[in-house]
Amino acid sequence: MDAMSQKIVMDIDHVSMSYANGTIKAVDDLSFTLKSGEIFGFLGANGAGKTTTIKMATGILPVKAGNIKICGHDITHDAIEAKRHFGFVPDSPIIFDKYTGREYIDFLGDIYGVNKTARESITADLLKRFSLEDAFDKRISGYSHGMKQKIAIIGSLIHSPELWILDEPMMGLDPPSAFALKELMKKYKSEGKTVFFSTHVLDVAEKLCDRVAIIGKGKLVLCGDMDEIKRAKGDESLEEIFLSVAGESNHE
Amino acid sequence: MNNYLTILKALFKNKLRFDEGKSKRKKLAFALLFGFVYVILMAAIISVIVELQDLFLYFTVMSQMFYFFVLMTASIIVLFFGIVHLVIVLYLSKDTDFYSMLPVKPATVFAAKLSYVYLSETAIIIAIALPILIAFGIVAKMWAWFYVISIATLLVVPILPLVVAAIFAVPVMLIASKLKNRNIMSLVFFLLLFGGAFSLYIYFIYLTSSGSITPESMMRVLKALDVILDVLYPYTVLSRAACGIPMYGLSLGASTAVGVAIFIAISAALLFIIWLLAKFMYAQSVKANNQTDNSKAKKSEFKTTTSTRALIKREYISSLRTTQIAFQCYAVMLLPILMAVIFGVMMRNPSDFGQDMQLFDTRYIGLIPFCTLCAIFATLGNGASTTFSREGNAMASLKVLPVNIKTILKAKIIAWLLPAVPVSIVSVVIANVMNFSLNNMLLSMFALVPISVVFVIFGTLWDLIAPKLKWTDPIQAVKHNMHVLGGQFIMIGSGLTIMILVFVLSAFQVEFSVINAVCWALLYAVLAVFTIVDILLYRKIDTYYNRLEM
Repeated sequence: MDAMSQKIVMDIDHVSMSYANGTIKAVDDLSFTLKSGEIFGFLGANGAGKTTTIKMATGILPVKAGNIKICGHDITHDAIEAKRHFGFVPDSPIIFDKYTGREYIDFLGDIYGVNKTARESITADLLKRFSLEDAFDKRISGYSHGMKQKIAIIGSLIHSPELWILDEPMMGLDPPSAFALKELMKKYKSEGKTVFFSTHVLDVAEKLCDRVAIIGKGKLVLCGDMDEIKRAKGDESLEEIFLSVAGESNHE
Repeated sequence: MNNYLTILKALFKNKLRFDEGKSKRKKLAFALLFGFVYVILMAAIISVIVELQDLFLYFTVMSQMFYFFVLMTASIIVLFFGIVHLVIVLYLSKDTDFYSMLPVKPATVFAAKLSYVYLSETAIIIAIALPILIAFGIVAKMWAWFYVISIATLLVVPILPLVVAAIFAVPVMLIASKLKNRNIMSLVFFLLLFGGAFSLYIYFIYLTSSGSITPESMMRVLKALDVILDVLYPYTVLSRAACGIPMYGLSLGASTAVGVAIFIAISAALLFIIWLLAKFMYAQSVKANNQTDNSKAKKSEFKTTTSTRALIKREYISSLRTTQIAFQCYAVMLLPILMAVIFGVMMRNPSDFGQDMQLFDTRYIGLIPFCTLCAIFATLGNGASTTFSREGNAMASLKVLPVNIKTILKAKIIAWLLPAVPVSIVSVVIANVMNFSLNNMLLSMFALVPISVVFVIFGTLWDLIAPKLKWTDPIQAVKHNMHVLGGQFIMIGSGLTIMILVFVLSAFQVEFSVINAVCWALLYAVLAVFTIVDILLYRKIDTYYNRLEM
């Protein structure tokens, strides 16, 4: 997909967020955009502001300064339309654990207005990929952490969103499931859709991402095309680049 | 012993500690509000005791009956709340695994847990019954031993209902442990038990207040009850001992000593029984926690519906599939019906009573069931007023969905109105049937049923203002939620305040027509105030929802 035909699916524009009466800046004047048909990695050390940014982008936290648009819809002023365009997998799979897996998917299907046939076809493929068929009609409360993560992933895709947002998605997944997730991200990208995920696993980001953004102390320290960044930094590995820019950010 | 005390202390700390981060002002405000409601409640009961002073002084048997009634009510309260407590703490507890891995004997953990249940129930009973008994002792001019016996009595009263609870709970647990869903089984058991217990209680009330309430017939009823109760549990013996009525042809001192001794001996025997039963329950809990579910789930099918219905269904699933939550939200909804029956029977038209009772103008008593319903309708809002708090961390998952707060609110309100409205209609009808008057029927139907509606809406909106989203166990969102209690106290306080006013006006011998008008005017004022507050809160729902941070 050439750059001209890529549309902007997420636009984060001068977004800030502070806690404790403005004394702690979790996100500080952050701006970047996501285009269709790309896998975008969002990197940063613990407490850098990744989850806060994602929570604002998904409408969990209010955007108090700046704007965030999803597929042209403002997450603050046109929240419902904006939310229709993305699927979200949180860092800890907090889902309605009194449901069975199927009831959970049914609930999301009803909310997003997905018909029964689409539910069946989308779920069948995903359940197979993540080997969750046997547990699908059992209560989520009895699932392991990894299984909860998997059902959250399936739920986030039930409405085939244009933008797929994942916060630390590899956490708790076994190697086959982590592989299945990476393959799914690539498939999603090949369909012209966008994947936006935060991670600590730099190897995964390096192999998977078209573009990355690195934040430190809430500020954007680096953002760009994976290959361009590597060339500009003398073909260092993403890990070396991350450590150098994150270190600079911490010394500021 | 050290470990026992440490665990007991931990259990109480976990139960009593305020939320982290709660300001001292908020804690103080809550304590004041709680104290205020407690004082109002006690004032209402004590005003009834003062009102009945002549009755206690005129008929000695009425004093004994009242004492008996207090002990029975205390036992019912322990049965009602203690059984849930007993089963939750000993059987359905989530900390079983935690305590199992500590270097502490299971018997020590069990002893601490049983003590915790017993002490909690005893504390509640003392807080409720002691001021009532002291007031009664002063009003009925009781002898000095009355106070000593009463304090000792309240320490052992919780034992019998806890034994009854454990006897019922053991077979249910055994069945539940064989079933896939032991939580639902436990809930069904609670409902059946409470239904049965209250039926017996209502029958008892009916017997003691039925038409021919002459002292002679009362004695016959009491003698019949004596035969059963002297064997099972000597409340009657104790009531006589406390009230200074001699028994067994002995002198007063000897008779009192024998009565108290019988009471203590039977209590000790029951304590031993509950020890054995509770030990068994705890062992079953440890066993159940060690079992894993390897069964294959039955394959189901996808079902489609609208987003509002999906949200309503979700509300029911999340509330019904946790026993404690289901009990707190649904089982307590039966209270208005039960109270309507109890008060309907107790406060029947005074013309039904014997000639002696007509010495007093008691027409105002016919208004008490309606004031009580207004107060007890607070229980109809348990589910609604914790609906956002129970979301906890799942609130984040809800906020991500493309549904606005209006839809979420609509679904939650509908979900809780569906059981609340029929319950309120049934309670109002029962309260009226027992003592029928067309005026009261119409006035109560148009005041109390709408009050239940506006209170459910109020509860939902009130919770949205400041839901308790940080908890480790969903029951904390319901039971340890001070904000929710604040909302409910307003409702309970409203009903009780009107009730007290009715008593006060009647004590000042104000015309019944005036008391009647004031009572209904205030009930409609409650309706109007809640309606206005609902409208004002609804206007700000977007602000409340947007400011929720996870």
